[in-house]
Amino acid sequence: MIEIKHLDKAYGEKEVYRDFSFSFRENTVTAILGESGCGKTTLLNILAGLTPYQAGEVPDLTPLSFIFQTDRLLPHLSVRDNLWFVTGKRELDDDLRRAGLYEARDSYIKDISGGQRRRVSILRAFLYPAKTILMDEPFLNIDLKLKRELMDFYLSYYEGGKRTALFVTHDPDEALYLSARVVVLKAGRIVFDAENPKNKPLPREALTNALING
Amino acid sequence: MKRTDGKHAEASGAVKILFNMLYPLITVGAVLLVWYLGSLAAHSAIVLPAPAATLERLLGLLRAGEFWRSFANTLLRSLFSFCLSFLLAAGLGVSSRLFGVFRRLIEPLIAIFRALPTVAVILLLVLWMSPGGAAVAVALLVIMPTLYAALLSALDNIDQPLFDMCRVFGVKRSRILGRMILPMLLPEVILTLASGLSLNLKLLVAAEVLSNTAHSLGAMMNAAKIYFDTAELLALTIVSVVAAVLMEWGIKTAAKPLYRWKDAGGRV
Repeated sequence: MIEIKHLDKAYGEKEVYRDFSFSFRENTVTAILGESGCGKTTLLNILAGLTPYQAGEVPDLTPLSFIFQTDRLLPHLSVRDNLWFVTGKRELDDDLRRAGLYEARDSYIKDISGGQRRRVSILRAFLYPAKTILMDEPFLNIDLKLKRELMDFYLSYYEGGKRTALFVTHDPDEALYLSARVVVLKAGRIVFDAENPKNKPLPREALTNALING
Repeated sequence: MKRTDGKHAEASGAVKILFNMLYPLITVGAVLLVWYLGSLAAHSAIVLPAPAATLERLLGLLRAGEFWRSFANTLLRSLFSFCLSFLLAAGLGVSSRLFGVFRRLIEPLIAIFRALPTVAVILLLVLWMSPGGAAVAVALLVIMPTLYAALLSALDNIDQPLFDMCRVFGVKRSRILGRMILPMLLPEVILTLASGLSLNLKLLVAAEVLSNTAHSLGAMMNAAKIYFDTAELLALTIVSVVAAVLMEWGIKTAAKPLYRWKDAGGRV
């Protein structure tokens, strides 16, 4: 179990977490579902060491991997060099073929499609040797067909070598499709927490109710 | 739908190039015409010599060894002071981007440097230093703050999320500097280099004139002024303008392939 204990976090006067404790299992995908401003991204940034916090115990997850909301790829490097930049790996042909990016391997980031950029971003996270992957709304603002394709792409990598993944989203469908456990966060508190087994997935209504009514 | 075949596209490309050349030629032609009419009106080679007389003097200068010696001295001095300014500005710029305290300490000094009246600085430096040293120092004092501001703004424009990404993935500092910061700065640096170099040359010549630096374009201009040789003064001015324009154009053209990636924006 990875545990966060008694976390306090505020931005100036605005309190995000007060005595917040939360744990998630290793080698599974845990989804944190919540509306904008509920503190989802802050939690990931705290775990990644990007945002300081006032008090509490936060585990050191390094080396960790991250799929950001925006691609955060270097525009002046090719697809291949973007992967090399983070992983240091030069032999990438097989990975690029598997990800359907081989043809675009020498293209600048500006010259590839939005879907391909997302693929590069996901591939980068999986090629980086880390036990934990944090994902901050990686499928935000993507049309339904491409979203499903990218989620399957993500799962194909995830199933290939399971890691601990913490996945933040505001979309109940994404949470149900990708994760083994769903937690709903509201105003810095957990208002819903349930397993989402493949053979008996959670009903969508349960999540929607929790999101709306807390 | 409009269709264009290869020949059509080639022809329109050639017309575009022709037009691109035509506009500056029209401007230069208009300037020469006004100059010629002005010289006729002035009716004095001291007040305003004709373009032909100036051209003749320019060709005469190009055949003289002393001119080339002075020109080379000015150019080398300009390059030297510019490189010095650039290195200093780059060092200060990177330090300011990395360390907030340093930035706060250095910014008032930079603001003072930027507000300094150039002529006053030259006169003071002529009193304190040798004429050659004064010319270099003035270019350094005036150009360096401008370069610093441009480089710092370019550094500030690199997205913080990219730095966060590097931090999360533990990317080596040398790789961040060599493969992220420097290439992303390059377009701005090239533009700064190009415009800075020509500005630097103008300033240096002004400093050479005021400090009467031996064997320099500025000293030649000074001599031409003393002897009322307006044609030579104008010829030397043309040399200085052409050198500045060529330097700016040369740098921009040579560096174009280095930032092809910037042609269209990509979400990072």
